Amino acid sequence: MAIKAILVINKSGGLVYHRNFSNEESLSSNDYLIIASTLHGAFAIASQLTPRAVQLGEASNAVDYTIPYIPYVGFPRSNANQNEKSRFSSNNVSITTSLGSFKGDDYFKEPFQSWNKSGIRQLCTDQFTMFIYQTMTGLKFIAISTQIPANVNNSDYPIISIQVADNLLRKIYCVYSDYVMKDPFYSMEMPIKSELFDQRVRQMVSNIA
Amino acid sequence: MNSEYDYLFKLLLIGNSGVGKSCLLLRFSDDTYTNDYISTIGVDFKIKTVELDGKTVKLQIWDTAGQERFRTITSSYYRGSHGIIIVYDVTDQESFNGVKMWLQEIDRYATSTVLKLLVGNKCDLEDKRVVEYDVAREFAEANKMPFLETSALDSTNVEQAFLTMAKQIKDSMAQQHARDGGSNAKDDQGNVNLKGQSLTNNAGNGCC
Amino acid sequence: MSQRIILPSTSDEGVFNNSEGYEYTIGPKQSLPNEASMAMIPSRLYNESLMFRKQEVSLSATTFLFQGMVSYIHSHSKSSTEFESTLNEHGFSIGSKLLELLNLRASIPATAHSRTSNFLGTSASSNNALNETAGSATGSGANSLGASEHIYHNHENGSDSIASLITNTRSRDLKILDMLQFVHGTVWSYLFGHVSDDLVKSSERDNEYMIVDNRPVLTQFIPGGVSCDYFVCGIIQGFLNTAEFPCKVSAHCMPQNGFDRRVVYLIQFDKHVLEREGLRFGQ
Repeated sequence: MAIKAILVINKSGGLVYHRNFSNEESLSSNDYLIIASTLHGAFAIASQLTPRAVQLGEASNAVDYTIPYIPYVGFPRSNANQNEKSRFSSNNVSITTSLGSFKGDDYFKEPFQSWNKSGIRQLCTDQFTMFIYQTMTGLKFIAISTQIPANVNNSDYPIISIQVADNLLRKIYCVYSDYVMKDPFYSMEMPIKSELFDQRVRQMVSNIA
Repeated sequence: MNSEYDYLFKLLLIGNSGVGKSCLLLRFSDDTYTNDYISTIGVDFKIKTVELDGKTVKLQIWDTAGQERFRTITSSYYRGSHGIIIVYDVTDQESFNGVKMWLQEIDRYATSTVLKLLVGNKCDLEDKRVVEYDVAREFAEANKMPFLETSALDSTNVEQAFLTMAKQIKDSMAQQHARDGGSNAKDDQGNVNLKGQSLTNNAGNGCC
Repeated sequence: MSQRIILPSTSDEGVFNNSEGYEYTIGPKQSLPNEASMAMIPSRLYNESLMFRKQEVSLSATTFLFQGMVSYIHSHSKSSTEFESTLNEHGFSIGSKLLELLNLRASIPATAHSRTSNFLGTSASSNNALNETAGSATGSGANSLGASEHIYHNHENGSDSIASLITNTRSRDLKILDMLQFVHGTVWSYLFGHVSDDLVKSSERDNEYMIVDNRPVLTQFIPGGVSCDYFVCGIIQGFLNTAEFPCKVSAHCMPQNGFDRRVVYLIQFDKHVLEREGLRFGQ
C-alpha cells in the first residue's frame, strides 16, 4: 500500500486524527501525539529557516506555488463513480449528494495555490516519505507513504508525487469541511471521532493504492 | 485508533531555566524524580490520560525550554493552548521576578481566555526559601490566577496542580458551550449594528 | 452613490417620481386605478411565492443552519428523549404549514412529465398529482422548466394571474396510500429536491408504513444515531396530522447497499385512521 498513514494536526499542534493503513505494529496513541507535536514544532522552525528574502522579496514571485489539478485522485480507478451516475441519472439529479456539499463529479477541478510556502512540504527518508498540506488556517493534513523516491522507477504503482499528495490531501480537507465541520457534536480542535469522516478517508486512500 | 480519548487538552509549562519544569512534569506523568539537570531543547512532551466526568481526557503537556535562546520557537507553542502553568523556584528570587515577563509573553501570544496557574516549585527546600508564600499569593491574586506551591522531589501538590487545571478547562468548555447557545441574543442587542451600505448598485432598497 | 437630498418641506411628487413604494417625505400616495404597476404588486407577490421555480440553496449553508439548531437544542436538553422530541416539535410546525401550500401548488397545471416516481405505475390516484409534483420539483428536466417559465412570463405581463390558471383545486387526499405518495413525491421534492427512495408498507402491521431515504440531506454529515432525523420525522408527522391522518413517526437507521446513512422513517397511523379508511372505501 502506498499510503501508510494519514494524520490531521490542528493549528495548535495537537493530533486530532490519525489512521494507520498498514498492518504492521503501529505506535501507541501517545507516540502519535508526540510525533504530531514534534512535527508541528519542526514545521515552525522550518518556516523560520526560510530566508526572509525568499518569503517577501522578488524571489517569492519566481517560485510557483501552483499545484496542478490531477483528475480523480482518490476515486476508484475503473472510471470513477459509474454506478453513482446511473443511480442518479434516472432522477436527473447530479451526483452532488455523493460528494457532500461539493458539486460535480470531483471535489475541485482547478489548479490551486499552496498555502504552505515556508514550512515543510515533503520529508524524505530511507523508510518513508511524508507529505504535508497546510491549510490557510494552519490545519495540517499529513500523508505518510512507504514509497521512497528512489524506487519509484521500477514499481507499477502510480507515482506518488508531491502533486498527487497535495491533491489527495486537499480532498481530505474537503471531506473534513463536510463531515467534521458540519457535525453538530464536534467540539473544535478536539479529536475527530466521526466515523463518516473516517470512512471517507479510508475509501479515498484505498482507492489510491 | 481515534476512539481512545474524547478530549485533548494542551497544557504549557513555562518559566525560567532551571526552576524544575521538567522535573515537575516527570513527577506528574511517570511519578519519578531525577536530580540530574538536563536542559530541555526546544520542547518536550508528556502525555497523561485522566478520567473527568466519565470522559477520557488526554493531557498533552508541552514542556518548553526556559533558556533564552529557544525563545523564538517557544512563542509559536502558545497558540491554541488551553492552560498555561508558570513555574518559578521558591529559592530563586530571579525566577519569581521573571514571572512578570512570562505573563507578558502569554498576553502577547496566547488567547485571552487561556487558563493560568502560578506554581512555586521546590517548596521542600524550606531553609533556602527566598520567595515567601504570602508574597507570591498576593501577586497571583493581583493577576487573577490560582497559586500553588509544589515540590517535584516529595511530590507535594503536583498531581493537584495539573488536575485542577484539567478540571477547570473541562468546565470552561462546557460553560462556553452553554453560553454559545444561550443568552447571546440579549447580550448583543446593545452593540450590534445592522446598518450597512449596499455595495451593489441598486441603492435605495438596502433594507427590507 | 450620491445621496439623495431630502426635502422635507416639499410635497412635489415630481422630485421623487422615479421612486417606488412608500416615500416617507410625502406620506401615503393615492393609488390611481390606471397605475398598472401599483395594481400588479400584490398579485406578483402572491404569485411568486406560489410558483415553483428552480431554486438552489447552498447545502453548506443549510447544514450549518441545521447544525446550529441541533447544537442549540442539544445543549438545552437534559436527555436524548427530550432532544428528539424538541427537534420533532420544530419539524412539526413546518410540516403542518406545508399541507396547504403544497396542495395549492400541485393545483397549478403543468404539462411536463419529467421526474418519475417509483410509484407512478401503481398509483390509483385519479388526479394527476404526481405528475404535477414531478413537473414542479426542483432541478427537473427542461420541459417542466419551460412550462413554469411560461406561466411566469404570463403573469409578469399582467395579462394573467396565477389564480386564474387554477381551474381545479386539487382536493386533499383521503386515502392513506395517496397521502403517503404525496409525501413521498411532492413533499420530499419540495424539501430535499428529490423524491424519497422508497415507500414501503409494513408486512406485519396494517397501520405501519415506511418512507426510505438513502441519503438524508440534512443529516448526511452527522455521524452516529438517528436522533437528528427526528426533525424530518416531525415534518412528516406535522404534515400528516394536519391532513387528519394522526400518526407517530420514528426514525431508524438501516444501512444498505453502501448507503451508510440510509434512514427509514416509520409511520404508525392511529387505529381510527384505518377504521375510517375501512368504512369509507370498504376494503
